[in-house]
Amino acid sequence: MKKTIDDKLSTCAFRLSGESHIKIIDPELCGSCADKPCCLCPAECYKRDGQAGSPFTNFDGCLECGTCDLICPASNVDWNYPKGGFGVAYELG
Amino acid sequence: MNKTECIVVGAGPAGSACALKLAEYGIETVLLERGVKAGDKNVASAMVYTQVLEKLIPECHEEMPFERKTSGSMVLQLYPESFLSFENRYMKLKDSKWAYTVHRSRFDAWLAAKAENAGANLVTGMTVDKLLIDGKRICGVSVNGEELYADTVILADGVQSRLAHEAGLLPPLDPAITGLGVKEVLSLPEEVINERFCFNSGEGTTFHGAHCYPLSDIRGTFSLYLNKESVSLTVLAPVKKLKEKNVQLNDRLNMLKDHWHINRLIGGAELREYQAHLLPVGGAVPIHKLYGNGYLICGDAGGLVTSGGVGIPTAMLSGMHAAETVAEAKSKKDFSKKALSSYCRKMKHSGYGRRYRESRQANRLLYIDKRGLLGNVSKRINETVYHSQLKDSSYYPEYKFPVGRYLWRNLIRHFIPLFFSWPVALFMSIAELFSKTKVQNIKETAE
Repeated sequence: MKKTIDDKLSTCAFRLSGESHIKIIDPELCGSCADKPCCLCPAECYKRDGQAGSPFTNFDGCLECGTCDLICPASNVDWNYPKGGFGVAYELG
Repeated sequence: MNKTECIVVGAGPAGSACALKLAEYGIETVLLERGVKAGDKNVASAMVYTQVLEKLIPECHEEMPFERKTSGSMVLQLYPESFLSFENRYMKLKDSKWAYTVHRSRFDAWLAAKAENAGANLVTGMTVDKLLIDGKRICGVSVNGEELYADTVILADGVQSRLAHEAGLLPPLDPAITGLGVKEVLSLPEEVINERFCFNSGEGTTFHGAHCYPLSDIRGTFSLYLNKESVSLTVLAPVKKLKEKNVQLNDRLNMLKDHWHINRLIGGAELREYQAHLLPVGGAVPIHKLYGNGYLICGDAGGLVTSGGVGIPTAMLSGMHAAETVAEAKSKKDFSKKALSSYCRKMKHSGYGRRYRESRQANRLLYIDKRGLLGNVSKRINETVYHSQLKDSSYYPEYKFPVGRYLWRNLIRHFIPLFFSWPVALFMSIAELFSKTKVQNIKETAE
């Protein structure tokens, strides 16, 4: 009975803004990236599913760690904080 | 035009400490925080050491929302089939020497409320979009499209510090020495924790392991902190190693939880919250980059973390020194880079200068460690203890004297040198003989 990351994320409280705070600058560039290290995101906002283009899937479960911005070899991620008051809110940080 | 005397961005320990101190100096301060309340976005396996906090809030021991007093720390190096652990416990400490485990969301909210009570204006739910730059001087911030001006801006906006990086005030983060931490808060009843770890209520400890079982290839560390009714299990590894080895840190956290010893310690615990955050490393940012025309950088934003990943005391210290610097600058009415440079001097004299140099070296050991020193040394100790003590000592096989080996070794040690040395010895003795006769001849002729 392993807990997936989705199960784990369901324990966190999010306030969703509906507007993505993560933008992929050039999605075509991601298609040529072999490693896609952004998929090591601890919240699985990026998924390797074999599709062409950017592996970026959702921003709702973003834990705002900023690893994708730091890890992208082409600096192709435009990562910002979500709008004030939105995003994850840790109860037991 | 909205203008205030000082803007503090970020209500973490650094920002709140700074705002509290500024308010005490009677400086009009706006403290901006992007969470709904202070501490919403903050994650740490948090320990608060009170030496610094006491200077800020003398009555902190009574008021602080802590989880457990920690009366020691444990080193726990895990291996698949064994573990090495040693424990420090100090039972009779004075108040000022205690460290406390806290939940950051509660602690930061408390500290920010303290700053607010002292007179700072705390505004939550506000993400600062960018810094306002007038020529070469930082003169304010832009929030939700509105502009807010100030004499000084204190950047205490955490490890990513979007503002400082976008304005080019700091060098970009180095993935080799920036750690990604993934943490789970697991709830366990208070009595169960007390029983399993042998503590009274309200006392606890922390466990640390470095470069051991599930994390040795990625140079990771793990920690287990005891809270009142939960434990925090964290794994931390440098981002560059994760990228090189293509490791999802959450998998390693699961492996750690499945280890038989950890399972025994925290078995039956339920997941309460899953968290992730980056951790900067001390020494990554040179101290002289922490100030400039109209701005000061405090806390995680300036990489003010000591070698063991301890950031809260240094953050609060930097916030206090920043506030002092701003107060001095205000009395001179000069907010230039030169006037604010005393911040750097204060940090150096407070002992951070030394920590800075130490942590630059410690980084190499903790995050890079090419030869795997940390992991190997503890593994060696573990194996040595096993071989010396835990082998079945009641059974000795019959001991045969190894005649052949003994002879052969002694042959090599004694006879072979002798074999090579006898012509030399002979030559030397003959030479000696001749020289003696010569000396004698000379003596005789002299007489």
